[in-house]
Amino acid sequence: MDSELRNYVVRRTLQIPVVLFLVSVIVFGVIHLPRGGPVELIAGRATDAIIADLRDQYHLNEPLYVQYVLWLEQLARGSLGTSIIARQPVTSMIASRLPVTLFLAFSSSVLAVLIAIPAGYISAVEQYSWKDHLATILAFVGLSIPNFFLGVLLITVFGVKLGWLPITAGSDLFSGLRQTVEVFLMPTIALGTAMSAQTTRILRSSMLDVFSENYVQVARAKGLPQKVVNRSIVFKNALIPVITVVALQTGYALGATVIIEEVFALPGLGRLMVRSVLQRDFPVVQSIVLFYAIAYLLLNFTADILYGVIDPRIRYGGEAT
Amino acid sequence: MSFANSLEKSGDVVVRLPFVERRHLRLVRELLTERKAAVSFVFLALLVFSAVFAPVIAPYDPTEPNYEESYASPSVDHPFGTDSFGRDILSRIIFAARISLYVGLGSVGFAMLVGIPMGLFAGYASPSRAETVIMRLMDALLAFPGIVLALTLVSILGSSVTNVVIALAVGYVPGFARIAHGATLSLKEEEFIMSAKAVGTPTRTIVSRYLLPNAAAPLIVQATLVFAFAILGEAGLSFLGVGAQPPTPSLGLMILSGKDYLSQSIWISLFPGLTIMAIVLSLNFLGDALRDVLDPKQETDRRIQ
Repeated sequence: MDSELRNYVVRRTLQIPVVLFLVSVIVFGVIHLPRGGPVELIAGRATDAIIADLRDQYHLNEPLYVQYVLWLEQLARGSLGTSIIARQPVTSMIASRLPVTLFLAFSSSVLAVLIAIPAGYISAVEQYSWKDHLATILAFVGLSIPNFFLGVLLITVFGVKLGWLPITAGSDLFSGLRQTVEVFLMPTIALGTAMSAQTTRILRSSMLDVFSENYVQVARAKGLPQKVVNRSIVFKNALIPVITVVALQTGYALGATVIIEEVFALPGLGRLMVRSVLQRDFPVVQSIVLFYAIAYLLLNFTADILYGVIDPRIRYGGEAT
Repeated sequence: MSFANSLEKSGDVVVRLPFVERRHLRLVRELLTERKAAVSFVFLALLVFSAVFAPVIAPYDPTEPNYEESYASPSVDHPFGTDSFGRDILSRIIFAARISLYVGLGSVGFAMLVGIPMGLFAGYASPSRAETVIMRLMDALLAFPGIVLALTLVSILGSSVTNVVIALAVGYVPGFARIAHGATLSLKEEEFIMSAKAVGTPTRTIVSRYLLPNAAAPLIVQATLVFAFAILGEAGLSFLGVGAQPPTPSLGLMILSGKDYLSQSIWISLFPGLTIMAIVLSLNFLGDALRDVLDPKQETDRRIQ
């Protein structure tokens, strides 16, 4: 690792604690600032005695900064607190639902890349051909269709009408390859479509940009076959923005699982989040939001570092934006 | 406002330019020569028109149940069919467009009003502690996936359309702040800004007359894209049950309400879904065309929401 790159990585790494701190303040503030604290929101459904009890139990009578420090201490001990409704440690609630969400985010990212790379490549190499037009139209449809609407349509066609795939997930999602594929196929398509559409467009425009670079002209002029130029020069150089977009999209996918899990009744983190939001189970909401933010932050960080590793020019740019 | 009129009004040496100049009109003409952009523009104009005059245009009452006509398939009387309550889907879409546009305009407006001044200030004050604090705060806000942040905020503010506007807008602030910040950083070094500073032009004037107009292009493009995100976001939140509440016609809520009848009465969800797609597509086309016309080289927020 050269010193330039090391400086860049160090600089970006030093920013993380600052942003993490701000993230924790935002999460805490959003949950605790409104109208006398989080449990007041349950009022109307719980008796005064229960609320007083909860306030006591969750230290909500302490000043805000004390509560914040107590929360950080708890986090440092590796605990996320106890759910108000389920009366279970939040850590284990999250841990049991995490595999579903991670798998869904991962599988839709993979699907997006598997579709986008050939589609974007052909679209750029054969610009304005019928293939390019088809890919463009599909990409625009994919970008504009709400993922939950696509999910609902998929369920109707493949679940209800054709009966090829199960409509709701069973209890054991990962018991066998066949079952996993059957359960996750539709959610993956619903989530991955918009991502693949965006990646296709990015790869296409990025390749078209590279086509006009001098070094591509030189490679052509010295007589390299078009295919070699396309594959080993244009495609490789065009991948830089694509990698960033894919990393950012995986973060997007994590967030979007909130809706997709609801549509397909998948027992993941997103579904837990929606339920906890509706039940006002603040320790759970707070922990899940924090988890999403950290995961998203780390993905962004990875994208920036990868960007710096692949393209040395970025490192001179000072602050990565 | 005419040019002469504005000249008279300004007593000082600074010549004020009219708000709409001839070059702006030329830009619009250039924009509309692209077919996709022109079609999108006409569609959105029609949508705005029908949303504004919804009570006059909509053939039926959007909320009044009429059980005798439930699940009617598309016909002359009901071009898009009726839902489980027998309500006319077309009329409901026309009223739902109001909500979509309100959420789109509201959250984009809010995010611009908050984000742009923060970005301009951070850029203008660069390098400084204030800049660091503002921009790191923006980074921290960006760390929340849009839908997760909005869902949390709505749950705390309470489910209503106005709270959806606020909840979505908070997530869009960093995008505008970053663009304004970046543009200010690069513009600050330009000679025309330096000269303005050198002759003692007040900062307020520099920002409003020189910085903002020159940073406007990427901000306008971002606004069209965020508008589309906001419409998708509202639909998503309503679909989750935390946005608009029944019987308010909202596109997301309409998709949700048709979800269980899809195999027999697909039109209940289909037409609201297609409407969302048409709006989002139009905004994207318009955004792309704007980008080409205004400034081919600028970058916008890469995230999808």
